Amino acid sequence: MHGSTAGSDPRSGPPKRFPVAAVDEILRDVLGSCLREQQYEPARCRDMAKDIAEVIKVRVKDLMIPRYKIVVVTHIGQLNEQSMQIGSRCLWDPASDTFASYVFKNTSLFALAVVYAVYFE
Amino acid sequence: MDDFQSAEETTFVVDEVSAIIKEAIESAIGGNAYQHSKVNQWTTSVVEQTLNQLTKLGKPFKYIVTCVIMQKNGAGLHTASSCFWDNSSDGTCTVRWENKTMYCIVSAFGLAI
Repeated sequence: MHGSTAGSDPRSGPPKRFPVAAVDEILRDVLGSCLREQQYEPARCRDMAKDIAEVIKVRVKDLMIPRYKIVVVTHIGQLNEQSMQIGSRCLWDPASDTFASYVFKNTSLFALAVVYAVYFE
Repeated sequence: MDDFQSAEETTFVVDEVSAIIKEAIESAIGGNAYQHSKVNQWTTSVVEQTLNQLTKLGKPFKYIVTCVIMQKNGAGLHTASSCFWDNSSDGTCTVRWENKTMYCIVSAFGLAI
């Protein structure tokens, strides 16, 4: 899957690597502050999930990492003695693409936020 | 630069991806009841099969596939996503599937290279 690119050397990779640690911190901060002490309520959590995804995207964009496309996925669910498995797999270039994730739990809900960063060659 | 590729080859076609996902789910967990010991294997299987089929499309895309399998227990789940990408070429497709004992939600994101 290598088209010829005018000018840049495709093997040089991204000029600035994606800062996974900084994004972990953003996720911890956003999930913690939005959901600490919150009870699970369907309508509220539906809106929260959308807002949280949006806020995380904006803060990751603010890091100004050039040439990276960002996908943010958030899950918020009720804790109810049920079991759940969430998994993902990606077809990409592991030298330049990466992800960051964080799980938040309190007594009534859990939240998972994942940020995927894909280098745009 | 290749300007001759048709639009079909360089955009994310939702229907095509949706069909791939449905088939992957059916073949991995169709007809099964929720079993905690198998769930890990099931999510892996759904995701890998989806990715394999997406690769076979031969399009210049990177893919992210996420699968959630949840036991039916009355609990609620909300999922949202927000993406920073090129709207004209990139896209996403989510399929919700269920049977008597579990829900399965698979999302595929395609980003043009």
